Amino acid sequence: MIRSNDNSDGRLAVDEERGLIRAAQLGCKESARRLILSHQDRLSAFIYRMIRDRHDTEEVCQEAFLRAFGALRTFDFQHRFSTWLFTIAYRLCLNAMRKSRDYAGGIDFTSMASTHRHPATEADDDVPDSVANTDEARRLRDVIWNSVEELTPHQRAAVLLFYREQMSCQQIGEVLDMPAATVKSHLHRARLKLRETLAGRMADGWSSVRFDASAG
Amino acid sequence: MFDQKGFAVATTCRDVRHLYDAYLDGELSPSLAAEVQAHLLQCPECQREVEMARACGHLIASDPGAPVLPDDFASRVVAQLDQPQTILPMPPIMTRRQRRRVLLERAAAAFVPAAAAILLLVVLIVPPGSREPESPRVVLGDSSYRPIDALGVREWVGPTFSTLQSTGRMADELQGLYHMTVREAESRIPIRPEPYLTAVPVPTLPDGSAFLTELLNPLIQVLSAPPPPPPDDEIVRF
Repeated sequence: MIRSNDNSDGRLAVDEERGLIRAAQLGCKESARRLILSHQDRLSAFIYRMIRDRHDTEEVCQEAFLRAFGALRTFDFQHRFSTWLFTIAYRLCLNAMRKSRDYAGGIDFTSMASTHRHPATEADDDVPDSVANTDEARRLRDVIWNSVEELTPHQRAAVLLFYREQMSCQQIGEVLDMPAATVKSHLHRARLKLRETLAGRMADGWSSVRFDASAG
Repeated sequence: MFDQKGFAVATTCRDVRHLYDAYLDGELSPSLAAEVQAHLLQCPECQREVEMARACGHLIASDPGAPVLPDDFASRVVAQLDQPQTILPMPPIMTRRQRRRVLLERAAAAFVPAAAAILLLVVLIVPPGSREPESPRVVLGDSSYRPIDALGVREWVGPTFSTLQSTGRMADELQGLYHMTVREAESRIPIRPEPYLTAVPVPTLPDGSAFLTELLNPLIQVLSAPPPPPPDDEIVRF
């Protein structure tokens, strides 16, 4: 498989993405597969953070791709494929949350986060604790994600898309189906709430702890 | 920070706090960013808060922490694209107001059948004369021909009697209304003669017109049974 134009996190260049979409519209399975491969990890992470259910994440992710490819003929090339895909996924997440009546958040995410280890980090178990893998770093990671889970679905989605997908408020507004100004307001309130929540939970000396992307 | 006349004033924590997000996102002008930076250098409290916000954003952006999809996930999805039934439409998104409107529409649509079903149940459950007479007997004020059980307890007679009275009246009215409707229908639609309607002259039936009678026949048989008159010695009159 040729992935020369992929970025380090699997993101495709705009031109290459458009070429793959056009080929997929004509029925090219390999192009569809490449589009899926370049988006599946980011999408599943977003869905998991939204619905907070490990078992439903794969199901919702698969349905999002099926719906996206089912309506691929109507794709507007003025947008990025990821914006379109995340729009579908966001709606599916809302439906899933509505079904499970999980809006208020009844799951102890702290325990889930603390027990989960990303496979990429399994190999790091033998490595002596760096600052990023200390118990304090793990605890802080749980505290932060726990605070994110306490946000409303709109705020949570805005925060995830802003930080993880580096989307602009305009793009986030397309995903959430709301004006960019409203997104900015959601984002501001979310960050304010995060700061207020974390201020009471962070231990002294936390700022000496550093996180890295591979730490689970 | 500058006052209304453009003179620089001392930057306070309150001034800086609402600029944290813009500062971290690099959206401030160079001069304003420099002022925020200067304040942070001399204020450990604000510095701590900004560092916390920065670390929080960094973690959210970079922490994987999500379940890893199977290696064959993409292949499985592509395989399902070949099956036409798995091509799903875009999921609808509904606002809270839209959901409320749909619920109201569904409730309104279900109201008429539900009300009709309740009325039908009342008519079927409380037909005139369907209850066996028990002592003591109570006779409704204006429907002396129809006895209703008062459960045999004098203290309960009042409310129970009132409920039964209204139910009985409703049943009577429904029964009368029904008979009137049937007679009206018979006068317009040719209906097959039935034993309970022998007193009414019925024209000859053409084929396919007896559905109304067939449909309502069980109900009519229950309703048309005459109530047995209770013996006078078991009746308590009000």
